[in-house]
Amino acid sequence: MKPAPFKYAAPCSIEEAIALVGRYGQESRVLAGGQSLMSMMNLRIVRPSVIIDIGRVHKFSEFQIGADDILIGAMVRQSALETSINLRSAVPLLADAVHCIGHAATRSQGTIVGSLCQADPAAEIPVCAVAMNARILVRSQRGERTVPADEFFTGVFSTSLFDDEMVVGVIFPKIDPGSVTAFDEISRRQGDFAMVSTGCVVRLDQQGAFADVRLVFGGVGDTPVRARDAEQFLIGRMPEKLILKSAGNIAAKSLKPFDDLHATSLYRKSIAAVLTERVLERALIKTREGSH
Amino acid sequence: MSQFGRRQLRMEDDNLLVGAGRFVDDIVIPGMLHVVLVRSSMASARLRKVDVSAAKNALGVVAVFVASDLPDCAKILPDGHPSALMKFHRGPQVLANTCVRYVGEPIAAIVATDAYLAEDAAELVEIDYEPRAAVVDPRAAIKSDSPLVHEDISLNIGTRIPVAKGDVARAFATAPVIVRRQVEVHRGAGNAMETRGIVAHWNNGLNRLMVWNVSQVPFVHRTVIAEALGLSEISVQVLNGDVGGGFGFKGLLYSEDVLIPFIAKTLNRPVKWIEDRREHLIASYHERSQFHDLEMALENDGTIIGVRGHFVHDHGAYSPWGPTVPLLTAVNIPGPYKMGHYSVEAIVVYTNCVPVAPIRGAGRPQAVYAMERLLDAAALKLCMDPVKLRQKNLIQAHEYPYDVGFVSRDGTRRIYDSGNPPALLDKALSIIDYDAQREKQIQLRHEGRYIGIGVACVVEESGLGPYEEIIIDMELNGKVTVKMGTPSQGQGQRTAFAQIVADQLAIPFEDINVLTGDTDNVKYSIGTFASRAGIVTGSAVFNGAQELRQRLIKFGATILQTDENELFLDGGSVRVKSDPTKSVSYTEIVSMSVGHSGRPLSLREFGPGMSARSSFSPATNVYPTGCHAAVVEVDIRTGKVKILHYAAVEDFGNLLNPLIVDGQVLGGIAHGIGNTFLERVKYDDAGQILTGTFADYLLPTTLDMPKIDIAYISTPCPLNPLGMKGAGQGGTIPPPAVLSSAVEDALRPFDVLLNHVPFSESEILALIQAHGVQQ
Repeated sequence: MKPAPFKYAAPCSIEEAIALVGRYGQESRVLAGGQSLMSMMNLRIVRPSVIIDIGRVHKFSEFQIGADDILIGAMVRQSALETSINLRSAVPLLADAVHCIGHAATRSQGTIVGSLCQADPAAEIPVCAVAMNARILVRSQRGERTVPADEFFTGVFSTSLFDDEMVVGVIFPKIDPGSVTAFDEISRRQGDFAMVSTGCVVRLDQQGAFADVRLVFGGVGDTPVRARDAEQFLIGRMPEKLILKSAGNIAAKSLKPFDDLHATSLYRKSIAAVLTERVLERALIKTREGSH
Repeated sequence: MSQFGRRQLRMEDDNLLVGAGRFVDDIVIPGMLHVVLVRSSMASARLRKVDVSAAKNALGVVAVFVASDLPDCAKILPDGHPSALMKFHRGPQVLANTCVRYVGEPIAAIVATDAYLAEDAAELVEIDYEPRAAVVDPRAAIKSDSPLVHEDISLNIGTRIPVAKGDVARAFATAPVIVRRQVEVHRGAGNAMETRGIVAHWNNGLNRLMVWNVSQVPFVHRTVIAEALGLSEISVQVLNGDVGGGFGFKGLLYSEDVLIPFIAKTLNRPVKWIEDRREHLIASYHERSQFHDLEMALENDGTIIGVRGHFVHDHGAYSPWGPTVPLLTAVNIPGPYKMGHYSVEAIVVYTNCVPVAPIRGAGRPQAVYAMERLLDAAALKLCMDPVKLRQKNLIQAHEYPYDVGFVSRDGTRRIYDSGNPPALLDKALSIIDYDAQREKQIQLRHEGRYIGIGVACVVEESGLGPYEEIIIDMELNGKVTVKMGTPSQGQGQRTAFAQIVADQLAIPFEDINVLTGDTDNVKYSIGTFASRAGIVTGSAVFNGAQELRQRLIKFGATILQTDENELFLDGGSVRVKSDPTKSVSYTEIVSMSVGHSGRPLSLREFGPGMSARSSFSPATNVYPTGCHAAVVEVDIRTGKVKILHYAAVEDFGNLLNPLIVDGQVLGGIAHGIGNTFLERVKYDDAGQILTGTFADYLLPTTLDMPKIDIAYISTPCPLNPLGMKGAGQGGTIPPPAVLSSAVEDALRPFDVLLNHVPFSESEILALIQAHGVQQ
């Protein structure tokens, strides 16, 4: 469990970091919090020849709250979701999910953007990003672009980043006043990657029926998976117990999860239904309470 | 107040808590080299060629060793715990010679200037395997069409161990009720916080080998290293610094234990090997995997008539520690329950998996799990309350000493020395408030909530012989040092043994220094395992402290010109009872006993110094008893189990330091919870291990620990001077049985039967759904 030989670079500015990514491309990996990358390197599953440690780029540790959205820099730690009231109130879905992400020790190192780039299909932050319609801010020497979260994740541990690009931040839209969010998951142990996780964004119309629903699952496919059938089913329907239950069953039916050491496909489908009900119920409670 | 029985804070902890412990990986010797092992990637194969030429030329590499570099006496490990019961013993190869028999078996050793370069070079070793069919499931291994793990062992059966009493055939023929359960316990790993590790240094000047390792049995290692390297035992010194947990797997013999010293001596350079976590998970010995097929015969009123059947024990590819695990299962199945007839046979089977040897609990969790599953099946069949069934069959306090009726694991008759199981069960029931829980269970079911209650009663054997030896010295400053052979893996020996001495010599606990972890301390020792150090070493310490006490009194009587009976010890002095101001201090006595250079000793008849050497040799095992109970809630929509309350009531005899014992019980229960829900070493059919990281092999964390109440009801053990029984494993043994019972009980409306541990949420939910419950 010792990494294969690699070169190490520690840029101090964004420009320098991007230049290094441009120069080394595919043979390099960007090191942020290192909570996934280091263990994969130690197991020699990943063998980059250059490590670009962005920990000294101070700009990456910032987040900026604008009128409509919030930009989270590439080195903002997951623990900021526990400690920053501004961040929590701007993106309540992440605030809801943070207690599920690893443990206090890993959250103090692991970064929000790092989790997106790692693109583990069972991770919590990618689910939140897709549910919230977040945009991934990507830069290279060729310029800057944003990628919608649901186009960013292309497979297990893979993204639509080009070799010369790096993610410099993620932009979460601020939750609009009429919407509520909720997140929940079932994992084998507290702090593990989820067997299934679910995030939802819900808006009710004036009659109290579902006007807008985004329902996204983790742990059930190669990427975060939107349950569009269930979303469509809910639109226009009143949030009654049986409706939520049906939505759960429709969601579960639409998912094609896998078997692994920790859970069967059938189990994942079953708990996806339960989680659908749970997050919708939780969201509805928030609607009634007037919180997010 | 006496120190014995006091919740004394541990002397060890200050250093450990501030990171000032000194573990084997902290040892650095100038010029030290690092070893990385190349391990088999195949479960069964001939080795056509092992080409190390590229590795030898790699950056930083000093040497590469393969099997042919080893002398004959260092090629195969001896049996560390030999038993006449093992018919076909096959010891592990130090380095695989012509074939490999499990994934992870060491094939070559790379020696380099640092561990990183060694790991780089390890990738350059080219191994030409000729794959052979592997067998992973021991039930398949005993069929005639199975591949053979060892070509000369037919049906892969290493041995059969029958344990019997009475006449089961006749008893079962006429029994009114018979129940049968087939239950499995799967493989688990030891997973101490600190993995294994060794530093070896050949001292050319002294012609002596120094070995730092993490062994629970350093004297066994000393002997084995000496034999493998052609040295006498005195030429090998085995040392432990701080050790981060043993859990049995450090009390065994591994290839590296011989290989690293051999490399150090051969190269005449200090050498270090530290096992990484991946190696630990794939190549350190495992335990627990057994398949039991047992029947229980009962009277209609629930009285047990007998138990019969067999179990298949997965022994892995080699036998590093004898048939200890299956033997322990075979003798432990009756536990604290009475029965007239018993016949169970262990079938010990070689497979192409990591060798199996004792890990904390050692065969007993399997025994208890199998027995308690039978009792639950019987209660169900008889429509009896499962607790009442157990109460009916427990050995009563007045029946002790109780002869179980067969020979135990140490070759002596299995006679439980002391105990009171009914009192333990009653206490456990009162802690969880059994009757109230039963009522609550009915109420909650109406609300669609499912709670369940489980209990299990166990006996284990501890305090194994043959002996432990100690040396106790009082120094010129009146402080005392005790030297012993049984090393610490973190149990708190410095604290506990000092407590024994403090009482005998009437000096402050802080003035006693306990030295362990050096084979130069005493001539012979066995080691720290099987919950034996407290009892055996503790009794030796007690005897030694008493001898020293007598010696102080003898000196005092001479110096104070009075009779020995007129004297007592207090405040670091020997005093006269009738006039305590008449006294002589320990420091004066020691000074007198040590004498002054050039002058005759003043009390020549007593000989020099204030030392005693003492030992304790137990006549037989002793038998702790325990009863655990749990209340769980199962979410029938997710299959998740929540442990609402867990009670552990233990009879460990007299408790030397209840604080330390609490820690043992809590840690043991954590291990047991892991064995019930999480910890499973998994192989695929080709013998590839699927659980090589902590993302796959799940350990319980603090967040998985429930509310646990511990209580003690102590019946002093009559077989040692301190009245102690072992406390190291009592926590680990019952949880799989207790929690399985509780989950089954919770899910009684769905007729869920659990036939193996660990079990997952997926399995529970599937069983509920199989009953036709719509989600």
